[in-house]
Amino acid sequence: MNKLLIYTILVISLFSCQTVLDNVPVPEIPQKAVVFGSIEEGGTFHTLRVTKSKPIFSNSPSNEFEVIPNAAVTVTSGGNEYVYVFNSASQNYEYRGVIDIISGEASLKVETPTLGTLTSTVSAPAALDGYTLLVDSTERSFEKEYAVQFTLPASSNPAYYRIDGYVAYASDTFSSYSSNEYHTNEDVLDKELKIKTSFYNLSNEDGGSTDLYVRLSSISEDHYTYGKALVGYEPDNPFSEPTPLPNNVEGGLGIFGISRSVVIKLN
Amino acid sequence: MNKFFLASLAVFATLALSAQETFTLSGYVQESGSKELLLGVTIYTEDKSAGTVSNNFGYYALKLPAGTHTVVYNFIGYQSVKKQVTIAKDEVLNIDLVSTNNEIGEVVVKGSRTQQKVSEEVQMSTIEVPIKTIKEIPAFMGEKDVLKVLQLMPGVQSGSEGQSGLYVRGGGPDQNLIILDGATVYNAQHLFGFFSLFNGDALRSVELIKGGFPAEYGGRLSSVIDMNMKDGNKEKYTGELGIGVISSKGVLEGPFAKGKGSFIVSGRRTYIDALTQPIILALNNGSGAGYYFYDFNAKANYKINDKNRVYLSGYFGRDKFYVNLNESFESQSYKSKVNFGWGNATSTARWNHIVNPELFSNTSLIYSFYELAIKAEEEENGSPLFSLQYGSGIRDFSLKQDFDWYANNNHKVKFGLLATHHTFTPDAVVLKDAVFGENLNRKTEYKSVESGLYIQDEWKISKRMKTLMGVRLSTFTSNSKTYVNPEPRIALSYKLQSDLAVKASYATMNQYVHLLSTSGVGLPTDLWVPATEKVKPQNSQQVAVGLAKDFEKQNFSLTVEGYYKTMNHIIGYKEGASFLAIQDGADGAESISWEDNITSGNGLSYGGEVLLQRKQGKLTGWVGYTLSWTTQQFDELNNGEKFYARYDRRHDISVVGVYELRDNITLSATWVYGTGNAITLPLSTYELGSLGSNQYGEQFGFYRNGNEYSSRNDFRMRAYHRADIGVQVSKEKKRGVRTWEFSAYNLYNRKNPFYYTIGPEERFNPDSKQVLKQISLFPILPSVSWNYKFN
Repeated sequence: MNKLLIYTILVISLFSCQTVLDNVPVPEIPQKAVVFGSIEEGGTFHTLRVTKSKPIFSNSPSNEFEVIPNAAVTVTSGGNEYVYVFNSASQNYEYRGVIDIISGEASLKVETPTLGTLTSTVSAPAALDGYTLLVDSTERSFEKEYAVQFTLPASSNPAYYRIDGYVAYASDTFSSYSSNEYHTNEDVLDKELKIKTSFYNLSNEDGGSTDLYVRLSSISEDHYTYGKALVGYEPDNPFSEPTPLPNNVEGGLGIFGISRSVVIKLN
Repeated sequence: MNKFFLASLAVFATLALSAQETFTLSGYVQESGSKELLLGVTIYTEDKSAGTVSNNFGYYALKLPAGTHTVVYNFIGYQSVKKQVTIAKDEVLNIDLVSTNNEIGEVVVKGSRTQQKVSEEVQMSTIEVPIKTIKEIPAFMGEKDVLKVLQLMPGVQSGSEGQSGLYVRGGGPDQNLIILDGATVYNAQHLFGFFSLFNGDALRSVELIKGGFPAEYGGRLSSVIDMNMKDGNKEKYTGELGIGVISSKGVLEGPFAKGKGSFIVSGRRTYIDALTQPIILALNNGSGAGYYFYDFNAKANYKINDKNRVYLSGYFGRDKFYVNLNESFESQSYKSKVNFGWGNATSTARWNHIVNPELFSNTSLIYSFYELAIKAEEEENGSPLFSLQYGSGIRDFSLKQDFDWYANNNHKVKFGLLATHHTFTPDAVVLKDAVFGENLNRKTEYKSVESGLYIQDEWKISKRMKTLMGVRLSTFTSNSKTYVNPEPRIALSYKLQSDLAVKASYATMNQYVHLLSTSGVGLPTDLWVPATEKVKPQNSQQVAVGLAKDFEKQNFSLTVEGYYKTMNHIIGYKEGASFLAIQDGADGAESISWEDNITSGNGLSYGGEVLLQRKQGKLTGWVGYTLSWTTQQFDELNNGEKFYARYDRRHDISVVGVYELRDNITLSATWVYGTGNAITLPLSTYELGSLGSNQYGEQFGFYRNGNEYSSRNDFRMRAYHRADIGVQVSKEKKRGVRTWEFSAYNLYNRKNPFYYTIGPEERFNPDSKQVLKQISLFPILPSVSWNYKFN
């Protein structure tokens, strides 16, 4: 409802007057390195993306950010060091293999040539076991709906979860079709946590088969806080208070996290 | 706390003993002709040995010893009346004052309580705007607006372009108690704040109190806007019609029961949608959209006998957006309807009773209701697909009992009680989805009881010194949590000369209802919620000092005030908090407790105000200047550092002039200037990432931009300034007076900032350089309106 009214005001203002303000003295802020990435515990492929921030009034297009291709990226846990390698095709840093999370903690270190060193240490999230899953489906002419409910056992420790879904086409291409949803048991400690959501598998007009997956991940707290902050994040809304996003990277910006996931094929 | 009340009772008893040595001259003061009761009339003996002022219901009581006295009744805008009275027992004397107004056909109550000399008033930080002035000052799109006129006063600011919200001495718009005939109005705005609910046609008085609050008021931190409706003409039927660019309005008033009673009704409605809707529907196969708002005020009063009068008044107003969509193709049809409406309803039933000549009683039953209601329906081929009803609001039932006790000529005591039952409904959802089979029926409700018990004494200590002192005991109970807070109040006035007084005041205020707002503009979706165990009541303490000087020969008055106000437990929203999930709960999104999204902190506001005002003569108006600072501090915001409030405005200037060129031509002009609002500017941007990869090892997800910001509110928008002019031309007609008004808003077309945004330099080229842009809303806006007052 707020969005409807905000957009109405913004539409009205489209017909109003825009003035470009030149020579406005705006404080300068140092450029920073930005890293986003997560370790999938038990997974064999892990990625991190390292880019540069840029001044708000810059000449480059708003959605283009310079990647830092020559940083030294390492993850350590329990004395073991895992070195990431930059992939020029994906523009990400990658590690292929299992990263053992020892002592429930992992640390990230990113040494950049010109923007200093970034570090972050995160704790491993809660174990993802003992859950039950209920799936119900409804067939319609244009789609199939899956109602999914995970029930997680009671715990006295706070835990954080993300649920999302994606389709895999027969040609081995994938796309995420659902937004991430974030949940926590903080309000129901010592009680079962039920996570419910719905997914829709649209009919493939080409007749090719598609596989539908739901993924439940136990995630670190910083990852949860970041995901929740993105839900109502409207940086372009001039009528809401600007909200700095959560950040757990020292010396820079971004989020480093650990997750433990189960992936279930629905169809 | 107990000591306060024991002391008050001791004063009470002393006054009672001393009151028995004289007799009481009492009665009502009203306007000759309409019989409208006159508030604030000065009544005194010619030898100045005794004096008083008529109360909010036009009642006065003067203690006089036995003998013959000449009593003077004096009120600005009316001929003074002198009466010789012989006192041997309690006497009743009702007085009619004749207006000295020489305007054609004007039958408007002109005077006001504070239009006596400012140096005589003990209360400070109080402004009363004559209704006549509200009607003469040029207005946005020609729509006369009480709240926008108050924004022209020192110490009062508007939030942004065109908004009706008031920011008073550093407080937000949620900290103003707006009351109409005793009933609280929760959302006093139409169309996102561009127009207020009150256009002045049915109003008798408007008073704004910014500090030194009398103990009879409570519940908000920063101001009280006390409005009273007219009673209606008791002698004859009169009325008024008006047609403007935005809306049309009408007023009708008159007597009934052979003059024992009178009534007044007024209404206003926008009409653009009514004119365009038939065309839109015809051109779009039954599809269309529109918006309108309307107000309706009504009041009736009846004099049962000399000691008893009853009143019934009410207000009902609504805004409504609607969209209707009709589509058909071959044999298929689809219809969709969305109604988005919000509005207020208030009702007050009053009983005035003269217990004895010294004791006047007012008993009120009050109802106040604000709601936002959204209804959406879809049907396909005549079968319902989907329906959603969403509502939020607040409902109050109140009982108010006040006594005015004219103990003696040096003590006017007021005491009473207000008890209010609040029902807060932050959300209520009914969803029926035939396609997906989802049904939802959910309602969140909070009930609470708020009360205020008060006693105050306006005490003339000596010829030079007066005080208004009192205490209010406020309580609030919600969900087994009870708050009890004493609120001491005191105002002092000392006359240095006959026309110069120095004043000081102190007031503690508590606020038990909070307004949740996620935007800088006042939206109807803003929610009223109660104080709870987690979210404490807000509290303020304010000290003010000032000088008041009257220049009687020139008809000027000058007030200079300084204030210092601390605010505790003010609410702010945690960074990253969103209320959209609460309000969008209809789609099954996780319900979030609003209490967990709130953080509390402190505020500080201080500054100085100057008001030079002329209230009589061909040229009237005022010049106001405010210099102020407003900061806030929250542990969970801005890294715990202090920051300027969004509406911190260093300099604020208003110049208002109304000139009676001739009997039938009035010119008016205003000029306002204000330092720009404080905003938070993004300084850098960075790429956001999705933290996930699928089983095949590809990281996917959307990439958006995140921003890094400056310290909160440390950037200033450009200054705001604007001039408006207006001219009213009247002509006496056979049965009344016709008036044309021509006005221009933003005369020199200043591009004032509404908000700032960052976007591509070339509007339709997203890859061009990012620049800071100012969005301005209103250019020069001429308007014309036609009014007819019939007798």
